Amino acid sequence: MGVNLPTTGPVLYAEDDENDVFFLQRAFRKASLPGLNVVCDGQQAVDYLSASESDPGKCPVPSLVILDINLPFLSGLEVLAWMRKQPAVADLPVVVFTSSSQEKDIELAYRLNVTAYITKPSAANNLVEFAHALRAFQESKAGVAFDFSGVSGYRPPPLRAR
Amino acid sequence: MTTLTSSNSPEAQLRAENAELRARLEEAEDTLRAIRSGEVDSLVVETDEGPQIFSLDAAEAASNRFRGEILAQVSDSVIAVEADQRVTYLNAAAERQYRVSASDALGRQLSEIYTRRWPPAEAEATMWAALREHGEWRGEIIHHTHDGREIAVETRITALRDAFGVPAGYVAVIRDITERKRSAAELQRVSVLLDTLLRTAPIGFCFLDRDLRFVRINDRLAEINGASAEAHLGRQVSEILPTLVDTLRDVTGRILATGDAVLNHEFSGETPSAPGVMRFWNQSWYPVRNGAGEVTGFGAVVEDITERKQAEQAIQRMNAELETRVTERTAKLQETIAELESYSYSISHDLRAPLRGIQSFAQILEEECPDEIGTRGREYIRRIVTSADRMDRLIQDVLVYSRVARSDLPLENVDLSALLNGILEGYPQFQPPKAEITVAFPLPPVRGNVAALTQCLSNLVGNAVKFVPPGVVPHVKISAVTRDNRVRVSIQDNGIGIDPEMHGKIFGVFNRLSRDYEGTGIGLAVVRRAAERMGGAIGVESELGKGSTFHLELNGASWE
Repeated sequence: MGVNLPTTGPVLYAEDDENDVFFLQRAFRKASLPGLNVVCDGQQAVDYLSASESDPGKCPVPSLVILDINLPFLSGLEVLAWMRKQPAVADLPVVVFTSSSQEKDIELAYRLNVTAYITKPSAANNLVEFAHALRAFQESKAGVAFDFSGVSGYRPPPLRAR
Repeated sequence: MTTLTSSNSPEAQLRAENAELRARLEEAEDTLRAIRSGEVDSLVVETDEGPQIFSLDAAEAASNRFRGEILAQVSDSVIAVEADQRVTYLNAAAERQYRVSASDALGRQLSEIYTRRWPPAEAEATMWAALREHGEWRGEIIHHTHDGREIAVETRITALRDAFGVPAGYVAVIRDITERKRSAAELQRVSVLLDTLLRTAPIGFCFLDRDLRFVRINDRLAEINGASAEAHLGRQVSEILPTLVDTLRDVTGRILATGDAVLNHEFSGETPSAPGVMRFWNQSWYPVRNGAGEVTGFGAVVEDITERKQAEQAIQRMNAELETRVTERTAKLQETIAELESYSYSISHDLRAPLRGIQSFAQILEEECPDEIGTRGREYIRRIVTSADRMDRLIQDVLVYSRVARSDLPLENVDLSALLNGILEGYPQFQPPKAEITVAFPLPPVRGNVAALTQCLSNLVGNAVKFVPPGVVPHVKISAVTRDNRVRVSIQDNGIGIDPEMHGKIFGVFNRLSRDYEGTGIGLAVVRRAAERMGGAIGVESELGKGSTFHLELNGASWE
């Protein structure tokens, strides 16, 4: 992770499922985290991140990006791949938060240097734990690798990608 | 012996003649006997022209006796007649050949013993002319005997002359050649048969001498060679088939060296009659030997196998096409399977999203509106959550099973000790005080797929700690043995055990061991599928109430 990451910016959440948005927003509230900036498809995520460079007033540069994989127009992994090629946002921490546990998705995400790959828990209460972990991650000193392995649903990098 | 008869006379006349003949015969026999024994030295014969004197000196008499003995011995018939064709002598062979006795025949007309058949009528005149002019005639004719037989003979007739050079009779030396004629005719017949067979056979035949000169060839082979059969005869292979000489020299050289035939020698080429068309032949070459066993030449059988070859090639072509089509179909099928897999995956995936909603909102309802819900409402919510949980686990297990059943499982050498350690440390339910698990470390390395092995071992150990009677701490022993590079991992528990009648069913999908324990009935099906896909197997030993031992058999690690 780069050293000059914005640790104060909002968290950008790309998610098309209204329920999931509701659950994470609730978890953030419970964990006393600031509100989420939500976009509901991959293209909107790309648009937001592009605008964050030209108009940071309207679209502040996020301190963390949470991507669902199954998104309309562009998948979360496509957004991630695009980000890694944009100098302005290439080094942003990204958590893939998805219901997919397919090996190929996990492998691709880690090849694209994802910060953590986490599968969605089956019940809302577990999300609070996830939100706490995110807060701890943001509060951890920049440049120090954060250990997500205690978070339920965390999928470590596969052997080949390690 | 048949008695000679003379017909067409009245009875009296016949009797008189008969008496006279008999008298003359006795006379002749006496004379003949005297001549034969050399007792007489001259003979006076009464003829119509008066008495004739035949002188027989002592030497001549002796030689006559000698001749008589020889004549009696020879196998050819010897018959002497006088000028008027009356028989004066016949030897033993003639008696046998014409089935007459000398005593009966002497004095008779020769025509009473046999008549000559002249196939060309003018030949008879030729005979008489030869006898007149040269005193001798020889030829082959048919003798029709007095008893109705036909005998093919080779005969030599010499005219006898008396002391004055006057023709006095004839001596015929006759050889029965009926048998010879018959075998010659038979030979001819067989030869024609063979000729026809050779000529019309659909297979090529030829005979070569040692200098590779065509001695015989049939039409079929001549046609293959592109020249008439006649054009082959007497010419060397090099003249007719220059391109074949080298191969042929090899073949004939081999025959001369080994004395054995060279069979089924395949070759291909074009014929002059159909240039540009590739043909195939199957040749076999045989040594031809003379009576002494020496190889005097070579025989060949040449079969055109072009059609067979073409059929073979067509089959090969079709096989190749089929192979390509199978490959294409397989690729398409794999594509379809991959599509189906991702389809079923996304369906299962999409099913989980609304479930998450049900579970989460039920939780939130309980959390945020406790007063409105009440005790009964909370119980319903608990049931909603439990049902949703169960459905979620089912979906997840189906996903795992379909992944194990279909996805690629690349095999590698796996450190089983490290893998098992990782699994046991990763779950609290595998650790004291929840469970006592002992492992006979080190476990041998195996050939397998890490993900599939992890699935197998965590399912088996999970079952071992799950299926215990209430209040009992699970005790699990894990060990492994290697035999013939097969590793058998055994997981022994102190659980409730399995009725042997159920052993066949527990590895099927959705077959649950017990309704008293949570589960989807897919875990062991996943283990079996994963084990099989790694070239392994799964088995169980168990009885109700006596715990269970599951055996997971795998291939040992290989370092090729």
